[in-house]
Amino acid sequence: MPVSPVVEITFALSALVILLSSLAVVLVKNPVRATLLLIVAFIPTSLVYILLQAAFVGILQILVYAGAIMMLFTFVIMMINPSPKDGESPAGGSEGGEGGFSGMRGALIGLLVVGALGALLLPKVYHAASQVSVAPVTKPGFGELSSISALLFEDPANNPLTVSFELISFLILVGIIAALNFSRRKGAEARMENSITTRPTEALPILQREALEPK
Amino acid sequence: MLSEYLSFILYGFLVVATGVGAIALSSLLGPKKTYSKVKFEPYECGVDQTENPHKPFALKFYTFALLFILFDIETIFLLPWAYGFKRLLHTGTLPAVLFFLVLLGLGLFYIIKTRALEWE
Amino acid sequence: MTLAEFTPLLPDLLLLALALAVLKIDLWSEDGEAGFHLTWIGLAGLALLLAFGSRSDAVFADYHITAASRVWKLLFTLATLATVFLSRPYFRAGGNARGTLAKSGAFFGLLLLCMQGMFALVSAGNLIVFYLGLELATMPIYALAAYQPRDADSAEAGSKYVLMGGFSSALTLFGISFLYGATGSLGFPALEAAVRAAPADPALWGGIFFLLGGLGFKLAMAPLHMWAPDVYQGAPTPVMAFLSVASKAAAVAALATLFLSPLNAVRPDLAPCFAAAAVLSMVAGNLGAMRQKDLRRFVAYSSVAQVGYMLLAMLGEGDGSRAALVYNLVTYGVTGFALYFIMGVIGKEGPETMSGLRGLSRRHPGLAVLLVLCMFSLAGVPPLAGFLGKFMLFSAAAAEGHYLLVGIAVANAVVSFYYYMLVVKEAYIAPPGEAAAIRLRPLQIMVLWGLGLALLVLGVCPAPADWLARAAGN
Repeated sequence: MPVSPVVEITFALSALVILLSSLAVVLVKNPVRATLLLIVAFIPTSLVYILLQAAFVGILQILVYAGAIMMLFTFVIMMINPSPKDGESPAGGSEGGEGGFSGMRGALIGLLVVGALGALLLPKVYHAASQVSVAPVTKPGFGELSSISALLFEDPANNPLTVSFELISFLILVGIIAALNFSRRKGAEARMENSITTRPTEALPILQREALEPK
Repeated sequence: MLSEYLSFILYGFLVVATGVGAIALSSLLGPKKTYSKVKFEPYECGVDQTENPHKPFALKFYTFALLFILFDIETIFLLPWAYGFKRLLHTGTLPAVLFFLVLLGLGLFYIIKTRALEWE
Repeated sequence: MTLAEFTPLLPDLLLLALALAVLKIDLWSEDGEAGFHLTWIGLAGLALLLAFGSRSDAVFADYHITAASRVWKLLFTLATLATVFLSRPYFRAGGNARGTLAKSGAFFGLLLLCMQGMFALVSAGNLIVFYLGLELATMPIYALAAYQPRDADSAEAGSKYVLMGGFSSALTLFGISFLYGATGSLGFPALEAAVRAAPADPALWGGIFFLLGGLGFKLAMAPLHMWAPDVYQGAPTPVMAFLSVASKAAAVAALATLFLSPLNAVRPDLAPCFAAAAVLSMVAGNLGAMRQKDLRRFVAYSSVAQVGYMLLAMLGEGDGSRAALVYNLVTYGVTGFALYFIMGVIGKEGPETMSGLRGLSRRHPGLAVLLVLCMFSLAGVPPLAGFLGKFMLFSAAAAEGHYLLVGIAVANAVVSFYYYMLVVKEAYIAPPGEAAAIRLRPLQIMVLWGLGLALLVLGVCPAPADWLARAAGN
């Protein structure tokens, strides 16, 4: 079955937006903007999922990633509150630290590795992909909530996903414990730390005498 | 396949267009502000700003956000079950889901017991 | 499903119950003593249950309980038990010069949940369970590595491990998606059949490439080992012990689970890859270990070298390799923990560095002797445990005709002797500083004697090796 031009165009547009905004995430200096751009990248990603007939995953992409995780990112960034000066060398540079790569060299090595990998893999992957029949999955309701529900929960004694489902609850439990133990400290000294700022100088009283003196 | 979501996609475009359009129109039609250095200086005997007013805030809220994500993920896994609830109820799925829920309930109990949700 | 059918699953369920109980008891206990006792008693019971309990195999919805998986689980349990004992002084005020750890309940709970992941990993019957097990076996360690309060190194270790772990998990998952794409199945039996039918499928090789990359990170196999020294150094010593023994065993188990059964058909084609990684790991580990002053960093490099030796077994035929891997991990675990307990003892007063070992022969001659035994065992000197472990690995590779590789490995083992002797030199020859005699607690004496005896027994008595070979080989 030939793919309809609407799908082709939507995919091409989404892919373009994803690529551009992802690049911008890395290149933009202001971390808040980078986060917002990441959200921008997530929306067409979800569109691609929908094009692949995985509507549920597409909606989750928006709900969880753009909605929840990016919110957390924004919190963290606001908490750390990087001044523009900090953002000047996002690649890290080689300030201090043994054997640190300079940004340029790191980027070059990365490009080389990716290029080599791409040259090795792409033809083979393309070859493999070209042999896959383009006929879409004909299973009714594929990628929708009803079929996911059946896939996850039907016949639990023999369902290969039952154990995985339980394991996910373990993972979430680990997440809870880890999250609590990193944000919670007991005792008075700890309460101070609880409201800490990442840079100690900023916890000082705002008005300092020197600052009040006329220049 | 796409036609099912066409209305949704159109709706999405409409939402984006409304947001972008509102900002674009107001910047086109609205009064232009003039910026000058003087405008940012304190008035008469005011004091120069000594530091960035954007203060970092307490880590506490970070915990809430983290916990929210974890339970958000839990909800996602319950969604398919809720969808097929009536059909699945008698197929023996209940123990598996209850196990999942009890474990996370214990997690919630742990959270409450450690008073992570209390605002000090 | 009746209750009796759940008997083979009992250890796994018991572990979960134990983890939850330890977490809950921590909420009420003031000093964490109850949590510690519950943990070690529970783990000891679990070990007994795994060793002498139900021997029947069972399958629960792609969760396979087999004799081989029981051996791995026993290994994980014992390693965790040793970690729990090791962590004891670190939670006591003044128990360690670096500072006291707090919240032992969450610590033990995370260790136990981590173990649960390892259990799932070795029982996995499909790639999703495999991946989730791997993830569950890694995620708690992110938190544990950063457990030292108010310590920049520990925070660095935690964040480095999160980044590297996240990256490697993504690689693994990407590889799994390729495998699924190539074979159309997630279950191991179907996967095995598909791989055997079309071993040259490029998508399959893409999957294997990424899987090896992801697991290589977890395994700290050169050239993907760069995170190990920093994480080992920054993490609290018990966590480092857990990382270097239990977590390493889990990564090896993951490698064995995938490449010795479902992907067995392509393993001969992968031989050059494993061989290169083995040689690189041995060389990188041995060269790196020579210049270390910090014992935790030293352990990191030495364990990278050990990974190199263990990769040799991936070249052998299936059953022998599995037995050799398990046996080597047992001997490595015993030797490693003997060393870590010594580190815990010297860490009470000073830093856990080479210079901290100075004058050990005068401060406590018995400990110094044990240290020598450890180092000889790590270097693979007969008749100690490490020798038999290495011997089994080398013979597994040699049986398939990789003589050159075994030669390189033996040369590396000889080189490694040099830096292991450096440690002994510190303990015996280097001039001691102000040397106060070391007093050990009864528990420490008991554990150290046990590990010391195990070092000797596992080296001269092949009976445990036979038992493991039979149990793990099927």
